[in-house]
Amino acid sequence: MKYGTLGIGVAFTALSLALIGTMASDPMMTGDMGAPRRMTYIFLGLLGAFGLLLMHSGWKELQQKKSDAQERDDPQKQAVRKRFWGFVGLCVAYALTLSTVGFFLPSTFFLLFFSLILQRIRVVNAAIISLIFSLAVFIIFKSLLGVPLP
Amino acid sequence: MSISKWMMAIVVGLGMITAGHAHAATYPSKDVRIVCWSAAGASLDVTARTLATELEKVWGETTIVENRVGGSGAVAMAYAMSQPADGYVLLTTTSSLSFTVAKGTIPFKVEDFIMLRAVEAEPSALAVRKDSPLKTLDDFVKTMKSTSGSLRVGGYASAGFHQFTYYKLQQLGGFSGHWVPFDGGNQAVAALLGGHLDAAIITPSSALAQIESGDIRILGISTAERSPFFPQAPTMAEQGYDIVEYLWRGLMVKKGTPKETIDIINAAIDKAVSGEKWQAYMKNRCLEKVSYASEELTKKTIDEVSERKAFLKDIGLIR
Amino acid sequence: MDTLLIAFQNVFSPIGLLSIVFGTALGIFVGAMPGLGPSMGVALLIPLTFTLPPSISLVLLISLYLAAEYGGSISAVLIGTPGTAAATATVVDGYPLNLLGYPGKALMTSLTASSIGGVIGGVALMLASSPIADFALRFGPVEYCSLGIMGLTIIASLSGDALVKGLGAAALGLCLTLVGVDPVSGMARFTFGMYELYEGIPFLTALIGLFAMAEVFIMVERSLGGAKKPAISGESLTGKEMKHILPACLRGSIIGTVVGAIPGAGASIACWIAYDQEKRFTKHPDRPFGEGALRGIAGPESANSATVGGALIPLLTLGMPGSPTTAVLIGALIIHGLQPGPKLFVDHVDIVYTLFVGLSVSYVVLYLLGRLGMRLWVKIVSIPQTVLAPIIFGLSAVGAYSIRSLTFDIWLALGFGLLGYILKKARFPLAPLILAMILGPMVESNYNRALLLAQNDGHLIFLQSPLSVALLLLSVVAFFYPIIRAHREKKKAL
Repeated sequence: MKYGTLGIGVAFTALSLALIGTMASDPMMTGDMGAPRRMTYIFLGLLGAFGLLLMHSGWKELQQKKSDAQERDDPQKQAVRKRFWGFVGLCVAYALTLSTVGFFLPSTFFLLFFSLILQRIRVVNAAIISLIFSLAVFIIFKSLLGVPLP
Repeated sequence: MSISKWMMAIVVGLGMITAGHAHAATYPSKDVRIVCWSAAGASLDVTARTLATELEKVWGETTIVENRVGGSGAVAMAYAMSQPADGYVLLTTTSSLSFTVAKGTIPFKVEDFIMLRAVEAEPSALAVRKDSPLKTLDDFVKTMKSTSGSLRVGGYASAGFHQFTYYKLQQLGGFSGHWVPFDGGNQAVAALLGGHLDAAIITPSSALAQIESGDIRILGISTAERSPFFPQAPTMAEQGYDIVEYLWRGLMVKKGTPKETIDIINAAIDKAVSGEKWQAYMKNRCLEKVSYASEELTKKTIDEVSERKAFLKDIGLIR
Repeated sequence: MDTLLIAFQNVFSPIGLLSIVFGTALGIFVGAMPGLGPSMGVALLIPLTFTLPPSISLVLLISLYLAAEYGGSISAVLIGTPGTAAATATVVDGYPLNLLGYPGKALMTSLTASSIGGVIGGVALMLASSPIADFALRFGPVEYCSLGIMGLTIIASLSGDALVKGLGAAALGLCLTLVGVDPVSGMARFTFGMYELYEGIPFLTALIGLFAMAEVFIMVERSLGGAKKPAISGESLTGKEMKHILPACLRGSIIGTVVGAIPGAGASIACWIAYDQEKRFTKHPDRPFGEGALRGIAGPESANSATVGGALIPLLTLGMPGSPTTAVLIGALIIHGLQPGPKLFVDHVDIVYTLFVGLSVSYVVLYLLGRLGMRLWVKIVSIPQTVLAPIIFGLSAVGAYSIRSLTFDIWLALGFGLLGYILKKARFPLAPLILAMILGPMVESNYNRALLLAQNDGHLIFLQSPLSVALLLLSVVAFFYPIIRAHREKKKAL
């Protein structure tokens, strides 16, 4: 990740400034309660300070990397990246359906979809694994332990 | 129409009415859940679980406790509000409800719920180590006044029940002091034992072992009369400080639950707490009996809210 | 003597042995699942104990507790996700060792270390409860704060070369702890009106997101990119390696026992202190630390198992919990009509002795079951990552949900997952972030309490306690030593 450190540095600094900003407009604490406020400023300040430091070292890294060969542009990497973000998107969708529909149905379907997207095993195998997984979770988590499930 | 048809209509009508009643009378007909807003193992949770076991014996339906911690109870309350008001989801409640509502940080009011019963209560107690030079509550107050509040006092939670008791003591005694909040009654007791505090304000159950062994002495307890569990502990009232406060624990339901269901639940609770097992539990944990009935409890809690608000304003927590 | 005999009879009865085996097996599972942990396991099992006599119930719950602390290392090694908060330190060296192709070694190290840790913790419980409990009481807000500061300085040594990144990650971790109601003032900070955040960001949720979910993303990226896994050698520990880890186990166990006995500190801190000790005192590790050093696994694992015995010390001597799980255990005791504390020795000596005997038997059972399971765990590694990844994701979602039964937590974990992914790709060490999240609240709330106690003395109070001074001095040394050493090495290399 070329811009990684730099990006994170910027994010830290921005976050720290933003949060300090919200504090200023919300005078909540007085007297005995002043100490937590002080702590908040210290922590946020640290975040901002490190944000700046990281930006600095990220910039240095970038200068170094500029002399390295290109790595991003070959088509195979593009394909991999598309599938990867597709996977992440699927994860988000999975989480969404978990909250609305419950656990078992989405899990069974999503394991199938996951395997298809990742394209390594046959559909039949994927279906079997999904079912086994759901069954296992049902037996162990729900019946035996009584762990609350969505 | 012939007479027979009228008869049929009446019989069917009567049948429908009784069927309606029969449906209500069959509560509970499935699992009852008690949602507890504290973590497993905490005092409230143990009370809830013990009560659940007894209720199960009374009405024969599985009664389980679900812990839903968070938001000073808001998470549990939000969950209960999201369920139908059919009496199958009971919610634990304690006198801390009035504090949380007074703080204004949760989106609920006391009126959103119907209080059922308070099943047990604990007083607040000012405790010191056995080697402390303080022997009575007056000693404590005098020392605080003459040293302008230098004794180190602490207990569970900030802006909660025990700090409130301390606040009242300060008002009646005419001194001001700092409150050192801890994350649990046990922690405050540990701090007291280790010499980091001069006095702690706790529920006696946080230090039962030490009270019994004498390692910790109670200078004043906030019961109305001397507690049968701690006969050596003078009450705050008898020493001239009119502080009678109880941290009570009980159950409540979502508003809108039908009256018949509520009556059944209340009757079951009454039966459960009169049983042997429950009495033994109360004795083991030195819990006081309370007898607040439903409406009385609701009114009491609502009154408490305004009292707590004054307290919170004074300590600078709310405006 | 009679009570000892009764204790033996209790434990070695069919129901007793069955309970221990069941508790241990379940404990290993609960520990290995991210999101489930010993506290939850004990809580879930309480209803089951209603049908058992109190002494057996206690043995059942404690064997689960012990096994769960070990179980966390299994997922730590195999999938880079700590199954319990206390196993996070195990990930640092356990997972790289697995990736190198030696899961057997890592797992065996963890099992041996956990067994030794459990034994030493138990022995301390039986023989040295009083002095340890007295020492634990000397920790008040001032000392807790200093202990926390000492813990934070470990971050310096954990970051290695990437000091700025490590400290930056820690700073982020500290800021994350700001979310929630401040324990001292009662004021809500940065909750943005969401009461789910009232108690702060649940630590386990962050752990699941940062480790499990982030690791899932990285696994998928790696396997999509066609990376090949190295051949897995089923090799276990050689005799020489066994001897090598022994000192680490001993050191870790002592650290774990003492830290476990301190009511406000538990396994999640003990494992890091042990890890730091190993890093500092091992001159010639078999592999560099952070890349699979055996002592880096043994130290933390002994520590977190020893905390079980340690945490039981305040339970028996003071009637107080030494760890969150023991708090649940106290609840279980009360439900069974028992009173935690020294009274147990007077009123129910048989239960105490049954506990001791049961605990001792539990270590043996743990070791045996662990060995048996070893072959099974290693098989898991050979499951293709494309299948493993979604399963882990599913389990993480379940784990995140089960902490508070809130779907909000699933989203929170997902958010942390993305954060963890970004940080890992940018080569930020995650351990400092986790450490900051664990220690931040401890340092902050105790700092505030200490100042309230100090009144006019102000910050002097930190120097008025010899224990605090000792801890602070250690912190200074711990912080500057690795920096100075690295500086000197750079100079030598030039």
